[in-house]
Amino acid sequence: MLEALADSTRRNIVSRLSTGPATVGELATTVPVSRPAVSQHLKVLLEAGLVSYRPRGTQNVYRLEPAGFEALREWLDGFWQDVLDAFETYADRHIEVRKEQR
Amino acid sequence: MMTPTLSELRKTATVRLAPEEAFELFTDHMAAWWPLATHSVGLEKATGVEFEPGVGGQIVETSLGGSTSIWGTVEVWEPPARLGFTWHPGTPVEEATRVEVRFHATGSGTTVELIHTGWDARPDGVEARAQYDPGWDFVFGRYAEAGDGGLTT
Repeated sequence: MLEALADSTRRNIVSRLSTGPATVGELATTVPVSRPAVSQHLKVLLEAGLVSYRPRGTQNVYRLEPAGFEALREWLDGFWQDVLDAFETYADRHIEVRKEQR
Repeated sequence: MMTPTLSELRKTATVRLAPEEAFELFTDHMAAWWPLATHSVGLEKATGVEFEPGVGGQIVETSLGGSTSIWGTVEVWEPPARLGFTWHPGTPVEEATRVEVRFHATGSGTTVELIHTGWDARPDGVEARAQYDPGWDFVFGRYAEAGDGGLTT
């Protein structure tokens, strides 16, 4: 999921979709890549669960998928929680060692 | 209009150290406490991480065989109160996000507050974000992938 956003074009697409749903053609006018490239990027975002689409006539209209972003936020939250927990644990041990040395 | 943004993410830790000591531990001694095996580019191959002091200093991970990965570059160095750095483990520098760490003295120690921001702090605001780089503020790439296994401690 995070891999999907490790690309500035895909983040541009996400940014555009955050203002409202759009078709591939509409997206291609806002990012400096071709329509096939936009489709390819959308495929990655779809697989990551960050966007979804609904057919409208002959075209698909893409939109952001809130559940995907919620999962991403939870992942990040867990990442930093782990890091800070490790920091706290080490700091506590650091203090114990220092006390013993006194 | 629904706008699912990843607004800034805040986490805090509390340690029984003075802010000066907490700042030093966070930076100079990062290798001693950072969970490298699960939270790094090289994972089990990661051998260390160095936080170079001062503005312009880099956070550099080293791995078996001598390869290195730069996690970010220091932008704010104000010991013992504040630390800021770009954050792009495993991805190009232009895809960097930003992390700020603040050290607040409390009665018996220090509260360490970590803030991972959602957007580049551009003075020219929304338009610039849309035109240049939306700056979504995530932990990207392989680093992130790596973390999937590291969520539970």
